[in-house]
Amino acid sequence: MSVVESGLAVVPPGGRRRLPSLLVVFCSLVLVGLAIATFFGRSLAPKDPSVQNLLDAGAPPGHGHVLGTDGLGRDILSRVLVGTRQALEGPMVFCVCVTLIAVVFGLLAGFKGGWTETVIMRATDMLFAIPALLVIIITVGLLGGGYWLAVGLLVILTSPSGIRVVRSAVLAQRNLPYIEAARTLGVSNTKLMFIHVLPNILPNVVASILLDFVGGLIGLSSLSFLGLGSPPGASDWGRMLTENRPLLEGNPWAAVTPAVLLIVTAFSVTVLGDWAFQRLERRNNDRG
Amino acid sequence: MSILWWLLRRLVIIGLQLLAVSIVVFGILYLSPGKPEQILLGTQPANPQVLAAIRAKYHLNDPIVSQYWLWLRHALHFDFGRSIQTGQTVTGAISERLPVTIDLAIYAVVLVVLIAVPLGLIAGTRPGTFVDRGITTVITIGFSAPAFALGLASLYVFGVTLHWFPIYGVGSGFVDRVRHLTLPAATLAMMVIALIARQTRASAMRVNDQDFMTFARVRGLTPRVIWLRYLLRNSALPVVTSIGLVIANFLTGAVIVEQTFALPGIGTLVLDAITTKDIPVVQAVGLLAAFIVLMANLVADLSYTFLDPRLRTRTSV
Amino acid sequence: MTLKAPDLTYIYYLIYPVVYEKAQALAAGADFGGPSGLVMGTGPYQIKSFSPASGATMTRFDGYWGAKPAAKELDIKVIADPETLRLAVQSGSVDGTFDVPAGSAKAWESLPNARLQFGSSGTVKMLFLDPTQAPFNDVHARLAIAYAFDRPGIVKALEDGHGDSANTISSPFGWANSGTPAEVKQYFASLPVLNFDMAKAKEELSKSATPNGFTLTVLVPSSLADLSGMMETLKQNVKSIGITINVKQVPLANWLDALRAKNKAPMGIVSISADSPDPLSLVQSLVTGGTDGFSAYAPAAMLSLIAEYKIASPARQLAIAKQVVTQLSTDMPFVPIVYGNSKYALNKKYVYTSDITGWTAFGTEWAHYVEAAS
Repeated sequence: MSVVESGLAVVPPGGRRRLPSLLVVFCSLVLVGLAIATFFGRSLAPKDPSVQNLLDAGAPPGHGHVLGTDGLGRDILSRVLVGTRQALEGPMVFCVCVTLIAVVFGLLAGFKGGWTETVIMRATDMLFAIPALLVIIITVGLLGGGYWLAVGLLVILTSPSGIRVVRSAVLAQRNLPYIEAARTLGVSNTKLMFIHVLPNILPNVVASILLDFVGGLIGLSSLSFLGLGSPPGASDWGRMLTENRPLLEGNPWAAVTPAVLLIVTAFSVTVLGDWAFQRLERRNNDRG
Repeated sequence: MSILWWLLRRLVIIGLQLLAVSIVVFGILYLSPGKPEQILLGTQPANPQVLAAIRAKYHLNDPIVSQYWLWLRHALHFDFGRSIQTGQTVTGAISERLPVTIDLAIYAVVLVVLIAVPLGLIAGTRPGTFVDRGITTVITIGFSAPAFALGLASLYVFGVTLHWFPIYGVGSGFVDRVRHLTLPAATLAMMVIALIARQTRASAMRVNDQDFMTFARVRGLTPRVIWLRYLLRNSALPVVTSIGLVIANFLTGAVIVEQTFALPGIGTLVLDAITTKDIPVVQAVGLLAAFIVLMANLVADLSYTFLDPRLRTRTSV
Repeated sequence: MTLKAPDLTYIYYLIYPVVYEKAQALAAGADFGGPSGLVMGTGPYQIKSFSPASGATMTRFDGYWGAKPAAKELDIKVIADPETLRLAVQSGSVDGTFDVPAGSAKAWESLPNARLQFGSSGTVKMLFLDPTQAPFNDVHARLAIAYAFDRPGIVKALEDGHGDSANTISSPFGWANSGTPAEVKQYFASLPVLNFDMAKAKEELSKSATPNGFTLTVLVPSSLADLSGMMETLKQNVKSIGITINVKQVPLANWLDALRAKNKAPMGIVSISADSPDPLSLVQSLVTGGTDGFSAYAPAAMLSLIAEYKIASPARQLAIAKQVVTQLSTDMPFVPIVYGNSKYALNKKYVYTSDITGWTAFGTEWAHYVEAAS
């Protein structure tokens, strides 16, 4: 998922400084909450997420279980809290890796041109339109590999679009006067790339990271939904959704909670991605 | 003329890419644990003779290269063998299920075009307003919700509670089919609608700002002309280029949506085939998916050239 | 057809082959049994259309020699997702199903327009413990595991309360034709009960060669949630006595592969049904002495007993069955967990006039028993 493709490549008019809207504040709070859950989930959880209580399975909220229990009698609230880390670490690693690869190769391709560019762009073209998730379903489904195999494949298959975007952003910058000026001054290519160009494409990069995070979150939870990826017993939101679907009549919270969390997380990160892009782009434009 | 040359070159490349895909899929199938004949038997006691007979029938004992070569030779005649699980010809199974998936995809595309583009245009031409913010929020939710969550939610709300739509199957006859496929198509389209609406909005905002738009308005052209002749055409470009992504998204989304709504399409076929290691089916569907993706990109690239005259002068596309 | 050696238990296998019309089969050729070739059988229904994708339609054949079933047409649909199936039954677009997944009976029982019937099946969910390698080459380690299952709890949570704790892998369901019910009941009562007793488990483990516990990896199939659930409970329970189990979820294919592999894993889990209503049907498919089977457990004495069983008189068969099952309880190479149930959901418009058992779906002409409710 790239910035251009997601439709962020433009900033709406209205240049005066505005305070972040209520929505953005809300989403930031959500992210803060998620961060807390990621790092302190274990200690915040009222009960041990893996302790089973078979005789109390599928029970609605009550008896010390704020959100009820799942099919094996485990406390939903605890599982969801502890599962935050599980749910977010994959997308986190994914988006950081994709962005690193995209920035490095995009800069190289956009800047160096010539052979470097051709090789990189041919490679990206080949991988670009491959439906990543389908390939992962087939590969992980057949090989029975795990979560990190899926993450790795997702990185490889999503990087091409990131590289493309960074490269076009770099191309847009390349012919600008300031680059020309720096060149005549004898600044080296590497310095040009990292010290001059990179800050100017930063809005794209930042927004990309956040959107890739969302893409990773949705992709990986879809895999869990199909039963591929995370092991059983793991407090994974996507997996909880599938496992607890039969409980919708008895204890709807078991399935609804992870679903809502997934959607709210993705939503918040997307909104913040948009907002970050707009703020950074505006700052760039103001600077001239 | 150069277009034709280019087209020819592309088709050759596509042929090679398909070959590569078939080799890779075959390789993964071969390497993955689990033997098809065991899955056929399940947990029934395994008589060595029975196992051997099944293996012989499907040439599972041959070295991998000759197995692949055998498959390739038949494939070039469009004979993709028979499913190990059902004994049905693979082409038969696919042709039976393909219409369902295609209907689903077409319906989803129609929804995308009807909903996404107008939404994006409306939002893009009044940025920052309440309408824009409202639309953007709805779009963002559609963008962030995983297809399976949305699908299940709509199934329960519209199908089970409100009884507006049937909850599984494909129906017979045109109207019935439309009824059956509405929820699945909407779910499938959701992510793409969100994507395209965002893009259209961004495009529209950018285009709206351009000089030629101001000039058109000053000249007194009716909004309708402005929209159709200038806005749409110029905004369409990025949308068209992402058709490849859209198709890719649909292919994957179809698997999840078909699973959720119990549609007998290619998606459920491939999931079943993967679970049961039905080699001929996985090979054929993998190839089909690759073909669709490559063709979609080809069409997108072609229309890219036609939509933007500025690109036609370039010799390399 | 002639058998290589006499086998009295073979009589049960005769329900499996289908008698069909030879001319039609030959004419259909490679398409026989498929959507274009179909099958011509000898039952009260004829197949009008069939496809693995969309299901089958069967119409009643009025020239049938026997009693006419009530339903004029049977429309079999394919719905892979169990929740969707339940919704379909709820909405009335599907009248009945044999495919009620374990663990969801509560949801199905709350359907206002359908009735859920249960019956015993020959399904046993059990663990395989490989007695030829550590740690389970020591019977005390095996017994430790046997006491680490909360069977009633599993029945309640994973089998919806419809199932039974299993003390032996030969389900009482298979003893229907052997001895009198009183005799069978008495025998089963005499077998050691496998309570959920971690103290006893610890005691057994301390007597074994690995008193401080050990680490294992167990594969479970991702598509069978009940087996996953059972492994999860075991994993939790044995933590306290030093046994660490890594539960690894794999696709069905991989799981089956591992079950039959030459290098067996120390522990495996499976859900398996007897082929016939015979006390040793399941046992004789597990204790084969061959290498393709699931288990390497094959003591010579038991193998010869099983061989004798095939040609023994009914009284002697009963005695052998008891002997074999008792031996299995002592050796515990297979840890029985629970007996599953067969389930049938049917719209209240109809009534199923017979019992539901493990043989109903594939071993009887079930369509005969579906009648309109009065």
